[in-house]
Parts: sequence; structure tokens; C-alpha cells
Amino acid sequence: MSRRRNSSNKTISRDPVTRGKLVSVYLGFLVIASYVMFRLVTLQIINHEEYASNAENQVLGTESIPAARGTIRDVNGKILAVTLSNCFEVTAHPNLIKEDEKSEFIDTLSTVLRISKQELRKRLNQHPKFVYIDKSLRVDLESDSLLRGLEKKYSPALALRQVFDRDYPNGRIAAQITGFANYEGEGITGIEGVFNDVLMGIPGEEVVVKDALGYEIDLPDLPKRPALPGGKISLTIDVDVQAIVEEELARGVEESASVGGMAIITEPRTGAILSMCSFPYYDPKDYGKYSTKARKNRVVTDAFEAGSVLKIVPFAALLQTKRISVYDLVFCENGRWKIADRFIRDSSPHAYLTARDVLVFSSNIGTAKLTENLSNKELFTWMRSFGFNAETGVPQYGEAEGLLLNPSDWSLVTKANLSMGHAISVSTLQIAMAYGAVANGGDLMEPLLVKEIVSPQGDVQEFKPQRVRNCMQPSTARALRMLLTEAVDRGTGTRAKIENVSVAGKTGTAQLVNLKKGGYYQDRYVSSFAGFLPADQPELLGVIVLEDPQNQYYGGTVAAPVFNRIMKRLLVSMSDRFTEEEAAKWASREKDHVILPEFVNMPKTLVEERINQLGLHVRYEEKGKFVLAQGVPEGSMVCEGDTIVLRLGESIPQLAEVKVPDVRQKTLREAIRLLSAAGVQPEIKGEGVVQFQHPPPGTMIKRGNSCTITATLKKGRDT
Amino acid sequence: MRIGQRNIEWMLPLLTLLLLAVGLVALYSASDAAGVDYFKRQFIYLGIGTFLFILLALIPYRIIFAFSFIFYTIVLMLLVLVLLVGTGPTGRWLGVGAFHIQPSELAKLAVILALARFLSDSRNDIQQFRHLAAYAFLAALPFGLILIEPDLGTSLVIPFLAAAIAFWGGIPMLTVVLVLSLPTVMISSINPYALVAVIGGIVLYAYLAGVRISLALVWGIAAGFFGWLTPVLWNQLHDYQRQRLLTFINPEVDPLGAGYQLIQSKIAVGSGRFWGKGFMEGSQTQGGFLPEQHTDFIFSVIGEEWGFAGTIIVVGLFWLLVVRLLYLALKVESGFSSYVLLGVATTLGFQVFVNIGMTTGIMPVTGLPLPLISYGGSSLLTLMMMLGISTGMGARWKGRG
Repeated sequence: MSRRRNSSNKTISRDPVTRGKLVSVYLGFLVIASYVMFRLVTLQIINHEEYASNAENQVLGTESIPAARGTIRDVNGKILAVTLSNCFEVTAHPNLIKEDEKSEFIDTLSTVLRISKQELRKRLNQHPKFVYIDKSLRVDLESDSLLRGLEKKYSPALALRQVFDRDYPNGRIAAQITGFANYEGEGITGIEGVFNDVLMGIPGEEVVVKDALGYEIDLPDLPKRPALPGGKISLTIDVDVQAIVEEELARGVEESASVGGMAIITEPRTGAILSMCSFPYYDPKDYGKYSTKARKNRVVTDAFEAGSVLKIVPFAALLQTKRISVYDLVFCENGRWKIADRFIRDSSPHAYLTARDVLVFSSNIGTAKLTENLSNKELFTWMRSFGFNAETGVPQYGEAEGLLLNPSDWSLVTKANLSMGHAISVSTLQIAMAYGAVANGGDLMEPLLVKEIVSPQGDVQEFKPQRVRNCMQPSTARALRMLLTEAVDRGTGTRAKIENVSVAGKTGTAQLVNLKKGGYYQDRYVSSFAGFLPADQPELLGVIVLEDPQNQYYGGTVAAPVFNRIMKRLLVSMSDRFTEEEAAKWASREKDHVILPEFVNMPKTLVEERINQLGLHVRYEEKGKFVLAQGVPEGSMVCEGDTIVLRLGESIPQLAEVKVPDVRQKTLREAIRLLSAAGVQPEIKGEGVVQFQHPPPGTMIKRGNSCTITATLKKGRDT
Repeated sequence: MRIGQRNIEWMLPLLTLLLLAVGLVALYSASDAAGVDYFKRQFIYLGIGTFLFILLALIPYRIIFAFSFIFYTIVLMLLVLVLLVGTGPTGRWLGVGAFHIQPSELAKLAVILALARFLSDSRNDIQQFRHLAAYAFLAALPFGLILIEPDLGTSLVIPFLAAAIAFWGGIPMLTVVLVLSLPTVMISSINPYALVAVIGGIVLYAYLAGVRISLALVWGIAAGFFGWLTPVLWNQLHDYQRQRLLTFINPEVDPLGAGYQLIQSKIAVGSGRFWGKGFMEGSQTQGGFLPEQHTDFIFSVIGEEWGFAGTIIVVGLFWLLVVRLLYLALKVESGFSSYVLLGVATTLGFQVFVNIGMTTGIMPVTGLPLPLISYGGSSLLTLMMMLGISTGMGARWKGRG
């Protein structure tokens, strides 16, 4: 303690200061203070005029430097929308043009701008102080330097300002998707609108000084922050595909005399959209001249009742839950069936159809009857799981979700209506995604429209295919692909057939909803076709919709040919995408599909051999050495591992004489199956369990003759 | 032991009061324009500040001497703490509830006290390299901590006051000039006239200090080359690199904003002319064209509303304050007091010069407040503490003979 005290006493008294040091420091401060004073004198006394006038007019401000809007490209890098920077806004202050220079001014300007002198005079006379000569003048390098020379010569009477001009080099092609940016450079529709923030970039800023008249004074070293140009967006759209699709859709609309049409082409494995368009089209060069209908991407925004194309949903449900087999027979009421107080009609009447042919020939009655095996809740859930009644999330404005009532609000006929694609509105995009799931083995994909976004800062965001959910098992999807292939091969969709390529697809014809009066128009239709190819390993998927065709109206007649023409052209133009091996596969059928040969009248031993070769199973009815009848007719397509029902007999029947089987106390369905297998045409009265049959069991009748069976809902007494 | 002479130091409190009054008038005007009541809040800080001023003026400087290293250590800890848990817009505040302090302001006082204490110990001889290194370390520690906050403006005060106190302690002036000429040339390269003046000053000083004229000229040319190189290198940088550097110098202000402020500030000061536009009449101030007009750019408010007459009075008052502090540094009875007074004078002088230089466009925008006048609690309290201590020390003069 004492040591410290001592030292502190000592040190505190130490005197560091000399007069010389003080003078040095004092001088140092004097120099600095003088400098500040000098500065204040300069600012406030010598140069005050300039600052005072500035302050009075408050002519200093920041001005925004516009950022060039980013480019939108297609999948191959072709430009859909681009901002051109070689554009000028040319303005003039006519009152500042010297009288003696006026004629020279007009002469030179008219040559450089390529405007007639007369027109130029007219524009200059619009206002004495300020006129626009051109709001966005595109110039090449040569006239650029000429123009800048002129500006120098005549400033401030002539003023140039660099502006950006949005150009859509492909015109109407993909314009509904790309969208539109207005004169202010703000995206208002389509990709331009949805990704406006990315495309816009970040405007820079600069400090500007203007004199009292508002003309900019060119001062050096004014602070400036340069603009950051907008980000770049690449779409999955292929301009070449889009051009073909737009052309063929327009042709289809014209030939069918439709009011409008929609088309979408996707890659079912990834959900990538290669093309979508809706007729009528519009050209962004004359944006204002077109109707909203033409500007909209109606593939996304418009929902409608699509009809039979949606039959794949109840079929997927029925097949996956094993409620039906595709060989089950359905009585199709010869084209007219009353359910509750309504009639359901088929466009071509059928008596009996296998479940498979119900889809192949698009029987409404058959579909409705099969769907009776599903509960309301189940059908509703399956519809939703296929992506209907929900937005897909595609980056376009105004996406339609579609309407579907909750099962609690359904009437007695809603289920039947829904099974055939009514009582629900869907968008063309939703149909494409649902068919995509069938094509790719059961995965509902998110539609992929944007491939890549490069932000203004240069960050790259790549978009990968995204699965929404698995909506059916691969075996169900495969069975549906088989049915859809047959629908094109020999059903309603034959006009979609393409040589050497297996095509799968489904037609749809729905009455147009009368929005004014409610209900449906009796004579106005929406015709559609949805399909993909090659059927076993789909690469391309298309949905074609024609609205209110005036001549013929069946989907198979008007929409399927459009699909056919588009796909044929795409196959040619895209052939380089596929290897030869792949191309060969296109023509092949799915390996595990078998075309059933004729077994009737063949000996059992031989039949067994053939059936083993084909990889099928067999179940015999009765006993004997020969096949009398087969449950599935020859020429049908079946899957490996399916069980074929064969009816045996001891001898080859005399010229197709068959024995009527005993179907009493069987369910109606079982009875129909037995009778069909035996080669007897069933004729049905009532519903439920068979009570009587005529002719009675064991009677020999001619093959193909009928046996009437009477069924009641309650089991009767034994007879 | 010599008997010290006691007299009442009234100059320092009087000048402080006058500057505070000028500050309140300017702040009232700026505060009204900003629509925020900075004025009332400043009154609260002023109350606390006055209390600290009086308290420290009455405490014997021996107690301050005894506590100087403890204070220095506490401030160092606060500086570390602010790096970890700093709040506020720039992360420079330490806050407990509604009360915030800015440790970097307190650091100025802490460094002055620590350096003064170090040099006033007769066992320490700054001419010896060992002691010079220890001295530099004492200054460099808080300097580094403030620099990485980052608060370049505040941190720059420390080398200047350390250099001044070292000079007081016996380092040859020439060494000080040589060391300081590098940053000075760099800063002054922003203005060619300033650069020429600074280089001329350096050469002249070196010559007067006895350096051979040829050597002095070589040094001047080297400095000139360096000064010329700075803007050249600056222009070589990419925009974003410049932006980063500028943001490092002052994170609160982007270059565009700073440029805008500078021009607005020059217009405000310049348009004040000789007599000014009058209290509450400044169109730039009242129009809200000046950002930060209540803090860093308050001098522009004075310049616009009170004109050259007003600014010259403010500069004059500061001049008197600094000169009085220097005079006292010569007169006080202890070395410790002398060092402290010089340190306070340097801190004040440096901040006034940098701030006014910034508002009049001869210094870069760094965000140093104008002492006693700008709004801001920590800065005001620190200065009131410094001036309170100085007043107390100024009351004890050396005995005659």
C-alpha cells in the first residue's frame, strides 16, 4: 500500500509539459480550425449564391434507374419474352428550338427517325412546351450515334431517354402462358405476372441536380447505384411443339366449326408441360385489341363438365378394390336406363357388355351400374385423389379448382352422373395430370411449367418433377392403360390410332352447361379426347377439348383426330429425342398382354398346353374332354396370370348345341357369367337372386339362344 | 511537496453551457422537423450529464487516478459484451430495459484515463521501446474492439488522442507527424486542395523540425504519391467492393444515401449565407431534406438557420474550449491531469473537425456526432464526464515557483 501511495504521489507530480509542445499542439489545432473556417467562408459567403438557389428550388433529388426486365425462355432456350435496351423515348421542347434552326431540325430528325416531315411537324405542334416524338424508338447502332449527336446539338430542345421495350419474338405462340408486361414494365398476366418480382430486377438510383427550369445539370461525381437487371426464367414449354399444337388446334376448331378449343401436351413421367393453348389466341403486339377470353390461358382457368374422359376414375377405383373384374358382364339395358326419376342413355345401345367393353365403348349405363359397387364417399375420395376439385398449383393466374359437391349433398343420381364425368367441373390441366398418373404407373404429378429461375443476384433455382401423391397401384394403372389402348384400337377412340404406335386414350362428349338458365343445352356439347403414347411406356400425353362444335360433336369424331394429327407431327419433329430401340418399343404392346385365342371345340389337353404357354390360369366347369364354351371371347386382350373359365363337355357338341346350366339360387351376376360361359344368352327379369329359369337346367339348346331368368331380391323357397 | 494553488475554474463550465444551449436551439428546430421529440429526451440526458459533470468536478483527481485502470477494464469488458449481445440498429448498444449505452463512447474517456495514468508513472519511459509497446497496446485493444463492431468513425479518435498524449509524454513531434501523415493523407485525398495543404504542412513541419530539406521533400512526394494513389485505387474497385468499404466505414449509410446527405448538407450550410434564414426558418431543415439532421448533420441545421454568423460562433466556442483545455494542461499541478486535459482537448478537437468537415464536404461521411450539440445520450454523457473531470482538475494549479 505504501509503495503504491509513494509512487502515485511521485508520478502525479511529474510535469510533462513544455511551452514548446504546447505551441506545437496549439498550432496544429489552429491549422485545422482555419481550414474549417476557410471552408465555411467558401460555402456561406463566397459560393452561397449557387447553394441558395439550389435550396430555394429544391432541385436535388434521386432518380430511379430502371432495371432491364429479365428474359423468359422455352425449354430449348428460345426466347419467349425479352427486353430490348436499344430503345429511346424521344421528347422535345418545341419552344426551345431556335426559329432559324427549326427547318434544319425537322430535316435531320425526320431522316434519322424515319418519320415524314409532315408527321414530325404535326407532333411538334401538339404542345408548345413538351411533346413526345416517339415513346419507344428502336434504333440500330448507326442511328444510335446519329441520334446522340443530334441530342448533343439541340439539347435541351431535344431529349433522349433510354427506355426498355418488351418484345415477344414468337408473337401469339405461347403468349397465353408467357403473359404480358405493360408499358410501365410491370407483368400483369401469365409468367410475366406471377414472377414479376423476379423478372423486374432491382432499379438503381442516382442523385440528379436540376436547375430551376427542371433541366438536368451534368455534374461530375454524383453518387449512383447501378440497376440490377431482372432474373431469367426458363419454362418447360417447347416453342416448336407449341407451334404445332396451336396450328392443329386451330384447324380442328375450324373443321368442327367449334366456338373454341383447348389443348395441352405433357410428359406424363415428369408432369412437364410441353405446350398448352386455348383457341382463340392473341398476339401480345396488340394486347388491347383482344378479348379476355383470348388472353387467358383457359387450359388452366376454365373448368367444365368433361364427361366420359373421367370414367377412368370409377374404373380405377373398381379395379383396385377388386369389386369387379374386367370380364364381368353388365347388362346395359339396351341404351336406356331409369335411375331414380332420370333416364341415363347410351349413344349406341348395348345389351350385355363386359366391364372392359363398358369403358371401351363408353357405355354410360354400364359405368353407372358398375359404380353401384362403390360408396358415394369412395367415389368422392377417388375423384379428389386423382387431383380433381383441387388447384394443381401451376404458376398461372386464376387457376380453376373445379366444382364437386360433398357426398352429404349428393342426390340419388349424383353418383351415377359423377361416374360418367358429370356433376363435376374440371380443367383441361387437371385431366392431363390425372391421365398422367394412369400413364406413369399411378403417380399424380405436379404440373411442371417452370424449369429454372435465375434470380437477379444470380442464384439458380431448378425445378424438379414433384409427385403430389400415388393415387393408384401400378397394376391398376396398367389395367387402365390396357383398357384405354383397346378403346383406341376398337372402341370410341379409333380416330386417334397411329400406325406403328400403340395409343391409349378415352373420348368424352358432354352436354354444355347452360349458364343462363341452368341445366344443360340439348344440342351443344364439349367434345374431348385424352390419351397418351406409346401405350406401355408413355412419353407424350395430350388432352384436346373442342367447345361447342357445330357439325359433329362426338369426342371420338372431332377431338380424337386433332390428337392424332398433333401426335403424328410431334413424333416426326421429336423423333431425334428417342433412340431406335426406344422407337421400336413404341410399336410393341405391353409384354404381359395376351390376345386370347379360340378354345371352343378344342380338346382339353391341347387347350391346357396353350393356356400354359400364354401364362394364363384356367378354371373348368363341368367335366369332359372338350371345351364347349369360353367365358372370355376370342380376340380379347387379357393379362398374364388371369384365370379363364372354360366349360367342358364329354364330346364336341352337335353343331353348337349347348346345355343350359343350373343357375337357380345364384346371384344375378353369377348367373349371367355361367350362362355366358355356357354360350347361352341371358335374358333377365328382376334383380337379386335367380328364382326361375327357362329353359330349365340340362336342356340342350342352340348356342346363342337365350335363357330367361327371373330374379327377386329375397331368396325364395326352394323349387 | 509543492503546495498547489486552488482557484475556481469557471471557463470550462461556461463554454460547456453555451455550447449545450446552442445545441438545444438547433435540436429544437431539427426535432420539430423530424416530428420526433428528440428535444425532450435530450433534456433528460442533459440532467444526468449535469449531475455527472458536477460530481466529477468535485471529486479529487487522485480518486479518479486510482480508479482509471479499473474503469478501463470495465469498459473493455463492455466492449466485448457489445460484440456478443449488442442491440440497436447497428448493434453498438448495450441495453437494460429502456436504458441504452454505447460502450464505444465511454471507451474514449477510458483510454484517456488509462494512457494518462500509464504515462504519469515515472517508471514508465515512453522513449523506451518496451514501454512504448505497452502504451500502444493499451490504446490498440479498445481501438480494435471498436473497429470490429464495426464503428470506424469512433475508433479513429483513439489513435489520434493516443498520438497526442504520447507527444505530450515525450515522443518527438516528428514521429507523431510521420505516423499520422499516412491516415491523414488518405482521408484528405478526397479533396485535392486538402491534400495539397496537408502535404505542404507535413513538409513544412519536417523542415522546421530540422529535417534536411531534401529528405522532407522526398517524404512529401511519397505522401503525395500515396494521396494520389488512394482515389486511383478507389476507382479501380468494383462498385460492390466500394460499397462494402463504405459500408465498413459507416454501416448506417449507403453510398447513395451518404452522397445525397452530403449534397443536401452543403446546400443547407451554403444557403444559410451570412445571417442565416432564422430560427425554424431553414427550408432544408424544416422540409426534412436532411437525413440524420438531429445527430450527425446538426451542424447543417445551424449553418442554414444561423448562417455564417452562427457557424463562426460555434466554431469559436469550440476553439475557446480546446484552447482553454490546452492552457489548463500547462497550468495544472499534476502530470496525470495534464495528460487527461490534453486527451480531452484532442478528442473534442478531432470530433468537431471530422463532424464539421463531413457536413461541409471536406471529410468522408463517417457518422461521428458533433460534441455537446448532436442528439445522443452516450456521447453527451461521456463528454460531460470528460469536461467535469477537466473542470475539477483545472481547479488545482501548480504553485508558483
